[in-house]
Amino acid sequence: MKLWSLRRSLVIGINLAVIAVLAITAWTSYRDILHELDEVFDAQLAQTAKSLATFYTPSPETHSVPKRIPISNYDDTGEDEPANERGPSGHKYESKIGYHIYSNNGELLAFTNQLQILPLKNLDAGYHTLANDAQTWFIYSYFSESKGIWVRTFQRQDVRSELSSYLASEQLYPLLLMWVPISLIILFIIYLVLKPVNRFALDLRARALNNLSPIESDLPKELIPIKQAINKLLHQIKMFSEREKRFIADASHELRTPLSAIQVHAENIIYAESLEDSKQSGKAIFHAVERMSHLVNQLLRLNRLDSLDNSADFDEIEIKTLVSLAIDSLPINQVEDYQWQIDVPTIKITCNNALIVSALTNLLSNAMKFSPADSTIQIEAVDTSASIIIKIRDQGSGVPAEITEQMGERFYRFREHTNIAGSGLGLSITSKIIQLHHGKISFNNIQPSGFEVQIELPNSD
Amino acid sequence: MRLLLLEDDKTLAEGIIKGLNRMGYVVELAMNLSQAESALKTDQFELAIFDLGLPDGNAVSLIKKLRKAGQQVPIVVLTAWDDIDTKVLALNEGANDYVVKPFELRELEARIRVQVRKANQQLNDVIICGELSVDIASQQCRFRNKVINLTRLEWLLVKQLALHMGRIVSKEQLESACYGWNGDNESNSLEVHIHHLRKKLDPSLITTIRGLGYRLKDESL
Repeated sequence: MKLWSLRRSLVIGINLAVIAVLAITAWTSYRDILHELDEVFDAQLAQTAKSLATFYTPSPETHSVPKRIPISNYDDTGEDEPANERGPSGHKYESKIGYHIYSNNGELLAFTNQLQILPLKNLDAGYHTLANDAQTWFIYSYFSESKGIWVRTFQRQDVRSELSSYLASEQLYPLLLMWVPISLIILFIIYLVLKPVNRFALDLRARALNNLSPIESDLPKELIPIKQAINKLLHQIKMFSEREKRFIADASHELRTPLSAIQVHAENIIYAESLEDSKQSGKAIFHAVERMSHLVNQLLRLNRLDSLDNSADFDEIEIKTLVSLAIDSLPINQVEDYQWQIDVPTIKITCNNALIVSALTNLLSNAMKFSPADSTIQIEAVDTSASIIIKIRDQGSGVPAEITEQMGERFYRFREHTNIAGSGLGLSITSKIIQLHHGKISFNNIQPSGFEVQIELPNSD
Repeated sequence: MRLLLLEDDKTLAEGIIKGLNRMGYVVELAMNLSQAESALKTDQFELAIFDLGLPDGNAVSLIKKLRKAGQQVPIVVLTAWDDIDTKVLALNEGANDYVVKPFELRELEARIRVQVRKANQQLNDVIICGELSVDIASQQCRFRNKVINLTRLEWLLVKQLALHMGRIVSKEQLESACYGWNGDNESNSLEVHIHHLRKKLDPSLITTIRGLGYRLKDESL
C-alpha cells in the first residue's frame, strides 16, 4: 500500500478535525436554539389558547352554526416575495397556524380553516403532535372549566423548521469564515514543520552518486535516527566499495605479475639461442599460467562465496567425516611426510559440508606448507555446549604476533613466506566460509614453536 | 653495463634477467628491499629496476631513502600498480621512469638505454671514440668503418669502457660488469678478453694503468 505524503495527510487530517469540531459546535448550538425556539412557540400556543378561552363567550343557543374565522387567501409558494406574502387580507402563514374551540360535549364552536385536515375533537388537555400524510402539527389543547369549552391551538411544523433552517444557515457562515483562516494557518505550520524534511530529501536527491560522505544537515529530533541510519549505511557502502576497489587493484596486481612473466618468457623463446633456453622459458610460462589459473580459480571461489546464501545446502555430519574428507583431498605423498595426531570425538555438526571440508583442507595444507617434514600436525575437536571448537596445530615457525591480525585479508601473504607458493587468498576463502557459518576463526602462535588455528562454529543443537 | 633488478616474483625475474642478458646487460637480482638497499650501498650499477610491491614493503620508501642519501643511480619502476597516484608518487620521490606490467622487454630495454644515455649525457646510443663507434642499441661495434665481431664478454668490456671513455675503469668494475655476482672470477680471464679485444681493435686504444685498471683513450681530447 502506498502511503500518503506527510503533508497531504497532515493537511487533510487536521482540516477534517477542525471541520468536525466546528460542525459539532454549530450543530449543538443549532439544537439549543431549536429547543429554545420550541419552548417559545409552545408557550405561545398555550398563551393564545388561554387568551382565546378567556375572551371567547359561548353563544346561548344550544345548536348554533360554528363560527368560521376567515384566513388570508395568500398561498405559500415557498418564495419570500413580500407582495405575495401579505396584504389587506392577512398573511400567507395563516394557513399554518390556527385554533379550534369546542364545547364540552364536543360541539365545534369556532375554528380557523384547517378543520377538514385535523381531527382535534377528542384531544386531552396538553401538548400533542399529530401527523397527517403531508404535514406534522404541534397542538396545545386547553379546557376552560369556568366556560366549559376546549380551546385547541396548533401550528404547522414547517413554520418552526423554516425559522430553524434560517438559523442553521446563519450558523454555517461563521463556520466557513472561521475554517478558512484556520486552514491557512494549518498550511503554514505544516510548511514550517516539514521544511527540514524537504531539505533533507533535497540534500539526498542532490547528492552525487559517488559522494559517500556522511550527511551533516541539521534535522529535527524525529529525523535524527533516519540520518544516523543513512550515515551508517553510507559508511558501510564506503567501506565496502573501498574494500572492493582495493580488492580489484590487488587482483589486477596479482594477475599482472604472472602475466608479465609469461610475456617476458615468450619474448625470450622468440629470441632463444638454444633449444635448452626455449625449454626453460616454456617451463617458466607453464608455471606462470598455473599460478594464474590457481589465482583466477581462487578469486572465482571467493566471489561465489560472497554471493552465497547463508544456509544453502546445510546438512548434519560427523566432524570426523569432515576431517577425513579434508585429509583425503590433500596430495597423498605430502600427507605421508607428516605425523598426524587426530583427536576428534563423535560430534555432529550442521554445516555446508563441501565448504567446511575445503576450509579444513586449506588450513591443513597451510600447516603442511609451513612446517618441517616429519613434524606433527594435530587436529582436535571439542564440543562446548555453546559451540564446537576445531583446532589445527602445527610445529612450524609460526608468525609474528602483529601479523596474525592481518591474516585472512585478501592477498595478504607473510613476507618471509614469499618463497612458498600461494596466492594469498586461501585464508580469505577459509575465513569467509567460517563467517558464512556464523563462526569465528583465530590464529595463535604456540610455544615453543608452532602455530594454531582455532575455528569456533556455533552449536546447532 | 650492470643493472640491479628488484623483483620478488622469481619466474618473472628469471625471464627479465635472461632477456636483458641477451640484450647485453648483466643483471643482479634483489628479491626484497633490504637486499636491494645493501646491494646499492656496496656495489655500483648503471641503473636499477624496481618493482614496487615487495614482501618487506613498498619500494617508493626505498627510492626516497636512496635519493635522500645522495644515490644517483637511475631508477626505472616496473610494477603492476597502474594508478596515476602511485605513478606520480614514485616519480616525485625520485624514480626516473615508470613501466607498467605487463610489458615488452624491448620497451623496458629502450627505456633503460634512455636513462643510461641521460646519465652519461649522450644524445644517442652511439658512443664515438675516434675511429671506434659503439652502438649500444644495436649492440654493434665498428672500427675504421668496419663491423667488428665480438664475443659477448668482449662486447660487455668494450661497452663498459666506452661508457666511461677517458676514465679509468677498475678491474673489479669490469669484472662485475662482465660476470656479475655469480660469474666465475678467474683472475686472468679478464686479461685474456682484453687481449683479444686489443687484437680486434687497435692495441693502443685500450691502455692498462698498472694497479688501477683500464682506460679507453678519449680521442676527442
